[in-house]
Amino acid sequence: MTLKQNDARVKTPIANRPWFIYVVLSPIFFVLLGYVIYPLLGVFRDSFFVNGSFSLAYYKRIFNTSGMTNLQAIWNSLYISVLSVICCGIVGTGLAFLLESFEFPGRKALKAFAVIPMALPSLIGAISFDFLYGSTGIIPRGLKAIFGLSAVPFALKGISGVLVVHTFTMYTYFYLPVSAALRNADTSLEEAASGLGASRRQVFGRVRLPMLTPSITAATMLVFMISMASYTAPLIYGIDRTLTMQIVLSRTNGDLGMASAQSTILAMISVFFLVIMRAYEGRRNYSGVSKGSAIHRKEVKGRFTRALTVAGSFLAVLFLMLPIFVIILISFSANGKWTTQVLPPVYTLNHYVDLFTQTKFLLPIKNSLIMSLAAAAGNVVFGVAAAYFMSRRKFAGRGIVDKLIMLPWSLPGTVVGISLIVAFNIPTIFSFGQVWVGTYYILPIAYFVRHLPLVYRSTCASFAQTDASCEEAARGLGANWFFGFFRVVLPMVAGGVASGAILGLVQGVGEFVASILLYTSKSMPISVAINQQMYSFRFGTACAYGTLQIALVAVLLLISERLKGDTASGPI
Amino acid sequence: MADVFLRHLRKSYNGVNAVEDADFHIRSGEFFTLLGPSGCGKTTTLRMIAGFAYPTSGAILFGDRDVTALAPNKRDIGMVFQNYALFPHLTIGENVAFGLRIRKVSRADQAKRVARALDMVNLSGYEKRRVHEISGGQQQRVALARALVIEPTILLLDEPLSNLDAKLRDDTRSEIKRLQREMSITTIYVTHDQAEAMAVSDRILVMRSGVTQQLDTPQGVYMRPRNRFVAEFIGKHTLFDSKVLSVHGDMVTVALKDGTKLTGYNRNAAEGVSFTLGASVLAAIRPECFEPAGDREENILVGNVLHCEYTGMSAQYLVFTQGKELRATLVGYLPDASDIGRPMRFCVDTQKLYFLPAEDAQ
Ligand SMILES: Nc1ncnc2c1ncn2[C@@H]1O[C@H](COP(=O)(O)OP(=O)(O)OP(=O)(O)O)[C@@H](O)[C@H]1O
Ligand SMILES: [Mg+2]
Repeated sequence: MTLKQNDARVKTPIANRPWFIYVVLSPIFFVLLGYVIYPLLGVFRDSFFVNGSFSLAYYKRIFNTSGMTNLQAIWNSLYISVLSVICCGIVGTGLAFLLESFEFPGRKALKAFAVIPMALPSLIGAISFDFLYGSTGIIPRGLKAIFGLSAVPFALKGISGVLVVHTFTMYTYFYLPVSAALRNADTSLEEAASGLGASRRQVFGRVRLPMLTPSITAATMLVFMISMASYTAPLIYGIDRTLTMQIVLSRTNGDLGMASAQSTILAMISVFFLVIMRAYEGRRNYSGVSKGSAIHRKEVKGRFTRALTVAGSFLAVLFLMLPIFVIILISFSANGKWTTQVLPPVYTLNHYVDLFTQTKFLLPIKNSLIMSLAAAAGNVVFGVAAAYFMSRRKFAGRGIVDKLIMLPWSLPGTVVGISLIVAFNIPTIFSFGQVWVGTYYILPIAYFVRHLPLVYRSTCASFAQTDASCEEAARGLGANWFFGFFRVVLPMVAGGVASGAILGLVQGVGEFVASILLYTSKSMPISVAINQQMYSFRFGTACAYGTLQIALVAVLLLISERLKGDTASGPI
Repeated sequence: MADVFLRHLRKSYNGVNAVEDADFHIRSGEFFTLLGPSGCGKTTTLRMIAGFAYPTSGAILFGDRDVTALAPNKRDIGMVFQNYALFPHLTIGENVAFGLRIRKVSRADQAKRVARALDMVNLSGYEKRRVHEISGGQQQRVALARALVIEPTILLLDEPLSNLDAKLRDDTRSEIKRLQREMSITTIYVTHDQAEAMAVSDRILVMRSGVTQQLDTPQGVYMRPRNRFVAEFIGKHTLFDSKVLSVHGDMVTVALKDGTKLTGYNRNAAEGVSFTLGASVLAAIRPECFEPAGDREENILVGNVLHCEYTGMSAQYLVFTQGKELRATLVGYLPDASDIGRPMRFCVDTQKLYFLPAEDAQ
């Protein structure tokens, strides 16, 4: 029973060696290296090489002042993004103040419907606005008919159309954090300030606004990033000269090097804003030190004003719901019969019958479901593994892993799409020696990469809320690692896993931007099918697809709400 | 056979030792306590024994079997965590049955043993409840039942009572002690509460900053501390610098800084004390070493009374003397309210005066 002190060192089991964790983590590193780092580096590299030799030709072309196309595209992208931020800021912050500071009939309904735009897949959202407010749209034509005008009184087109669509789909990025900040704000602070003799304006400027600054700043960066990345709205409104449109055009023209250079610029801008946003995120939660009294909302008084608010709320809810209504309505309209009328004149159920009976129409639905499910399954495996090790093990390089997982989410879908094309139009070890571009596999991979952090983040949140010693307790009771993991650890974070996976499915079912770059006739997803149907003026069929997309998203969100009742953990 | 041997066990985090050279033997069936202030390495030691932490160097043996590199699930231990670590997605019954399920105990047997274990901790009929539907004290007892039901050879308890209120603490403590004695299970108990350690332990290991200070019976660490840390942490000794004045047979007289003379026995001394004339030693006095002075002249300590509390059984004095505060308990003494703020004479029991080596001699 005599043992020398260094005996133990000699037989340190492999699992307890410091490097062992990296062996366990190697699949995670493999995924990050193969599907995030390698493709992005490929884009960067390709932007500097023309026919195999180093050259700045692409950048010279982009910044060439005589051609202007690219400079104009950059300028347009920036300009649209700045205006989008301003519009979203005004609408989102205004709505938050309205709903959190005043009590009026219709408030609850408006509040419930205010988040509807988040659930709308991007392509469907943009199309519905064209149907509603475009120059041949229902509302302008309706007004023209009602008032007997000679021309439509207004119509959304060009950049104004893009801006309205952006505002509609993105104001929630302001609305949600600002209303949360207002709800959590300690009103006793404001009362203290007015007690000290501050005027209402001073209270607002000195007390309330500073408390909101972090959420507003973060939202500004986010909306700016998403606007820069926006592809669908410029496509629908025909603004060719934006960075995203130019990237896709370069790709379509077979100029992958140019697409890479443009993607590099777009990615740089995105990452720049991401860094700023991250810096602000840390200071985001300003909820008071003392749990102050809840904000008191001012009651709206007077019969006339109350009636007015009811009408206003009704109109607002209607405005929020109209895109969905119009898609459903048109899904029942016969193709090619709607010409100059205000509303489609002929209705039919045929589109739905076609969708579910003709294999040609059924294929995109099947594709979207299978590819989203496959990507979500991949995200679950990757996300749970990454979250487990990031939350429960200590190792050098955790910060980098976390940032790499977040990176694809913050990059424009166009950039991710181009990067996958660059990476996998040749055989690589990451594609197991195959060329993936032009095959079925590239799309589920793209969905997987784009939605990489969804399961990861929500599972990390669950891990943070659960007790790490439960796993040890299971081991102590005799469970081996697998039993402990699958019977104790996993059930404890199941809520977070599920909500992340569902969010991934929602995104996958509506995905358009990367799909349009990567699809093949065999792997065409719903969004691309909608785009094609629109292109050939088969509006009814397009909207039937759209309705189906909306229904899928609604069902998924309902399930997620259900699950949230059981567990407190939420995604992102 | 469930003797536990720790052989020169060391654990360092980022080059800092959390546990240094832990080297001791826990006897089969013993109630063994790791005692020390927060952050001294108790949990780390326990986690190494359980197999959740791998020692930087050294070895752990259960009997004659080296388990240093053995996975925790193969060590046949029962552990109760400080925060219970009950499985929130399982019922109380399922929690307790967890270890049995892994051991492939038949369903019928499982039910029987779970019922017995829950009965043992006075929670019969709670099988169907959820973890969040029972109180903290009940959760603690479920954790205990879950650890005991598998009849482990070694029971590890990490501050299992720290979240309970005083009454429940006492009850649960005696319950643990009773169960341990009935099942004669080798138990390693972690606490930072010295009274708790004294009450239940067969032996106590006192730790400080990862270093073993003393391993002894409760009486041993209380009456015969090995150094200043143990003396102050366990017996609430007050220590005075002093010099040896005279030695007569087994009687030693020392002089404190102000000349006060105290006499005690040379056998009441820690290892390393030298009673050569003029040598520096520490005179250690526990609160209950005092007697009312009356008209005695020998072994008298004079101090200003700062505070006095009467508990019925005794009078507790807080006295200022020799530049420090000292506690004195006089059993069966009736204090006088006018004592406060005045100098008072206390007689130190010759039998109870204790000597420690002077600081620089250690
Ligand atoms: N995983 C770890 N990484 C780095 N340092 C650690 C780790 N675990 C413990 N330590 C350090 O080791 C020392 C001993 O910690 P340990 O948890 O064993 O203390 P303890 O005696 O159980 O204290 P308490 O009574 O507060 O539970 C502490 O200084 C602690 O900061
Ligand atoms: Mg501890």
